[in-house]
Amino acid sequence: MFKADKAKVEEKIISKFISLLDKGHDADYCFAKFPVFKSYRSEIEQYLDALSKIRDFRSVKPSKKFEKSALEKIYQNTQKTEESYFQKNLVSRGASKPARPFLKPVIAFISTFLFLSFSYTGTVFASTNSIPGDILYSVKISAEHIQTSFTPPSGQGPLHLRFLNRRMAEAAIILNENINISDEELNKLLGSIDLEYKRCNEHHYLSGQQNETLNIEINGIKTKTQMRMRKMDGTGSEGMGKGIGGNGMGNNNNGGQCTSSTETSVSGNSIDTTASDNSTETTASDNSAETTASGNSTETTFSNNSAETTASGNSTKPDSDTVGASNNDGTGFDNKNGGK
Amino acid sequence: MDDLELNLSIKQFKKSGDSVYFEKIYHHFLPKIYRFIFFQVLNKQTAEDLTSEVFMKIYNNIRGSNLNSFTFKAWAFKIAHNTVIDYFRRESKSKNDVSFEQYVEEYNEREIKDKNLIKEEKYLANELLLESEKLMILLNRLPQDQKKIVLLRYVDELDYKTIGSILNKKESAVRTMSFRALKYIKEEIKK
Repeated sequence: MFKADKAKVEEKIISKFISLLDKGHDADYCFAKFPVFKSYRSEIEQYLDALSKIRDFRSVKPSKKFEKSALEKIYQNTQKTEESYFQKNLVSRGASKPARPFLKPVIAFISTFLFLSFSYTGTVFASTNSIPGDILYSVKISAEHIQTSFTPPSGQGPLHLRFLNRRMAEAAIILNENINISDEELNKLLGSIDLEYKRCNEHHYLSGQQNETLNIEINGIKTKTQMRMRKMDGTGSEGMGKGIGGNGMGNNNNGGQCTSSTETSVSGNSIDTTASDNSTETTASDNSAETTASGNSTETTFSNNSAETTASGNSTKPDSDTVGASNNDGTGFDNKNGGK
Repeated sequence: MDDLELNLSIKQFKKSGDSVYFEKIYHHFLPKIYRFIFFQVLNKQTAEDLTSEVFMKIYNNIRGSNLNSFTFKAWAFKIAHNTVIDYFRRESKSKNDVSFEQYVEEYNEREIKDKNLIKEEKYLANELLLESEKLMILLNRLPQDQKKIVLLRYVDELDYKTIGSILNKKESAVRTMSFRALKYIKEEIKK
């Protein structure tokens, strides 16, 4: 056997023997149990001798005094560490470090941006069910404008159709539930219905049948709107008339101008040529409204008139008083009704 | 203290923070850690300072660690090993930038020459004194890693795997090195 091989075998045998000793077996037991060790007995015994001498180092121990003092030292130091840790944490929790100067504008910008975007989103969401005359209606319209500007041309057709349906639904709500909004708002709504319809056609999104259906529906809304306007004006005048009647000579100017805004007869009776011009237009538009073609001109006239009505409703000019008096004398509202 | 008891003490200390359980661990490991450090620094005072430093680290970190009896042994000795290395590194820097290995070698020679050291310490029984002194010299002639392996394997009876994890060595390498060291000591004693 070569020397190297012999050394390897020896290493294996010694290692095995030591591992058996580690497991708690006695050296004599190992020699008796495993005959292979017997041939290496003298070698193994030399190793065991060296091992036992090394194990004598176990008698090296720290003094009792040190054992005690070290433990005390550990407790003292750890107590200090825990206190300082606690204080540090307390300080860091109590007073947070100020933000770095260059971060301040960034933080301010981000927080403002987040606040605005969240609040705008919330407002837009809240405005989804608004109708003309509501405070949030303008938000709804502006959100729609933004949506339109961010939509590619291919998506514009369906988007405008959706907006058209919205407008028509709003008009239906106003007309069916008889919600009180100004004529100006109502005219604007009609205008936007026309606009959306026009845009749908521009994008060639509507089929022939759809086009016809929508046309009929839009015309229906317009007719209803105009009827409502007339009715409202009539009711308003009557109301005013009653009020005037109640007040005697009080503010009958209102009644006079209100009448002028709707009816030719009153304007002809009292105020001036401009008023009568208006009233003439009104009559013309009344007729044209049904045909839909001159809807815009009609609407303008209505709005002009209604604006006058509102203004006159509040004014208390002496001139008007005179006019009003003349109307009152001639029972202006009765006149109007008769003229009609 | 057997492994089961050690496991229980570690768990209880982590759970309750009761110093009784820490003291059990402390009293069991103090001689082992002290010895491991003493045979490297060969100075009582330094060994005591470093030992208390090690136990301070153990106390501060034991609750945040996930240890059992097996991993605790490796962890505690690893702390001791690193503490000694840090000590030698600090010392070598303060002594005119001598390299770490050179410093440790010189340190061992210097300390072992001071034969009064062992007598003064009175660590060893009088009848064993002469032999132990010889053995100390033999031990310090061994390369640093072999010296540590001899201490950990034959004095503290740690298994090869644990020693490997302490010294960042493979189990087979530890096995070979421990046999070589033992063989060297055996042959030197025989002379």
